[in-house]
Amino acid sequence: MPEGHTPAHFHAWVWLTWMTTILLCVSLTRNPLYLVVVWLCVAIVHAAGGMGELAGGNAPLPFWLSLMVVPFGAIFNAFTVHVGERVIFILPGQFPLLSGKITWEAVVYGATNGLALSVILLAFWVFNRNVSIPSFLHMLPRAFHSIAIVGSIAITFVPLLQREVHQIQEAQAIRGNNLSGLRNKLALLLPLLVSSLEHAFQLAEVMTARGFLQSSVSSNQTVWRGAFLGGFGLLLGGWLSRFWGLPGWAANLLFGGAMALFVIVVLATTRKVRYTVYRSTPFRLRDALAMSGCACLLIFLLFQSFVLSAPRLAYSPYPVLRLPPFEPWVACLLLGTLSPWLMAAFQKHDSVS
Amino acid sequence: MRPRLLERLMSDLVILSSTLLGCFSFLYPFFFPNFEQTPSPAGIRVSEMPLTMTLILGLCVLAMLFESQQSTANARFVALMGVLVAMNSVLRYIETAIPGPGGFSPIFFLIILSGYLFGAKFGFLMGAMTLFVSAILTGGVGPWLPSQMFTAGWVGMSAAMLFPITSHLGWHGKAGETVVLAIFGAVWGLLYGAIMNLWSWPFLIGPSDQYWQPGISFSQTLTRYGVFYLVTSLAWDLGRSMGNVLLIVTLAPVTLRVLRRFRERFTFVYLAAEV
Repeated sequence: MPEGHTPAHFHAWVWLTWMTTILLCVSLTRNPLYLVVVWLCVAIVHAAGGMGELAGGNAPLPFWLSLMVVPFGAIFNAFTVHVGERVIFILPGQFPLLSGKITWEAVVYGATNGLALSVILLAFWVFNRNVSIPSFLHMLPRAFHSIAIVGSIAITFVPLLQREVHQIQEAQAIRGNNLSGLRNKLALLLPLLVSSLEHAFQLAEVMTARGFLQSSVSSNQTVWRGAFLGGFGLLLGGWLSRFWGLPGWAANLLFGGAMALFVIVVLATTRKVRYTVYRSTPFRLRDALAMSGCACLLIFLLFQSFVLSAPRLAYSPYPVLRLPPFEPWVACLLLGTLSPWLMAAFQKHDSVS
Repeated sequence: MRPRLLERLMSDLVILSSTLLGCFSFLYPFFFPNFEQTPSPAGIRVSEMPLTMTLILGLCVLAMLFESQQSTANARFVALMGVLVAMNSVLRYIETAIPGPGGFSPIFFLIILSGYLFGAKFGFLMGAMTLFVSAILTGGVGPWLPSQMFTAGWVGMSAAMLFPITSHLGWHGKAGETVVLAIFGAVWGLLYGAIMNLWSWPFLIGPSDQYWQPGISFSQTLTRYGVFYLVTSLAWDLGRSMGNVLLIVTLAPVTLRVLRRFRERFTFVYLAAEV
């Protein structure tokens, strides 16, 4: 088992699926009742903590910060947007932006947008807390191995840079050089840049000596470039068909085709890249189960929005405020975002009993 | 020779197409005024737009990264970029911890110089990877990341266009070079904010003279966006713009000398003499 990966932790792919599902939920609905359900699920997963490689408990600050966005959104929208039928009061005077009728519609619209933003902020906080940097880089497809290596070098180089900065500061202090002021910072920046580039040169020599990139240069570049161009054509077609009022399925078909072309190129290139795994993270049954709850919801959202083009999740308080529609079975499906917490709770229960 | 020419042409086409499509996905409110924003059964389309934009920009970034990484199919450039991205990420980390005035950000300095000296693909990767790595380091991964990566990539990519100009004018290593780079940094300081605003502007609701509404003409859209930008963003973006100018004027001449010296070393190729 890799260092820092205990049985209580979930695989990074679980968190990626969870994150994607949350984002899709928030992007497709502005129904405050459904958003409250999603927010509660994310808050429970956040509060539980201890389910990721980096988890060390739940931090209350992001929770409260994300929650503050809701009243802020409501107040800001109420005082800047004077649209709606149900008037709370009228702000007199000639204050630019602010004067005019303050409506319940604007309050609800602002609070709903704030709630959506709150869910996004909290969910990304949970994601960032639960997925370690190596796991994040490991999720990149092998077709992007150069990019992943650039990322790895950059991340591992950061502590070296810090050490280098301290050494240069000490050396300059011994020489009596004052490092305050922007121009004086050159005495810090230049040695740092030169020594870093020297490190890069040495690293490159080592990588070349070990045969880096010797086997992975793509040979079908014209083919995959052609596929990308085809994908761009399909994307443009899908985008334009949305604006020209063509049926929703036509646009979705074109978008789907474009995505399929991109995925095929990435997969085909990935297969040609040879690699060595130093630390493997197994994908276990509990990971699959935790992922399945989110995956079911993801499939439902994709199907009902992009295949059926059904406005089931749509809601707007304008022009007249009315109660948002609420279907209990949709809310139950949204509870799928709780699946990592549920799996962790079951596991904890089993280990205790 | 012909296959290489075809490959070059295809490569340029991929870059051009993804750039144009990226621009298009940012600028669509200007060209499609009839897009429905009113709440109705068609209102579902409004809620889909951020997702569609993220999808299109994500795929464009993916294609650009895929294409640009061909330019780093060399251990030296991979190591060089890794180190430069690390330096920039540390700068962004410091900026996150100790925010500068307005939108000041020190990351554009190295992105501009890298694109200028090492070429468009390197510049794009430098911009995109800086945002990507620093987002990982600072816990800033979010739906805004593809558009940030794309826009920062454009900064680096477009900086490469300055090189032939300064070369033609014979300004390499002279004050003129610094002036050109400083103007470029100032323009991008404002443009970066203006492009990033477009991400959310069509979905915001506010005073009718500042916000987008369906059915308005191209000139009205442009005027409203101009007013919105002046009211909400100009002061903030001026901080970034002035910061870029200050950093370039103060640090660029010396940094360029160092980078040029290392560019010679990184592109050095040993050819064995024929026996």
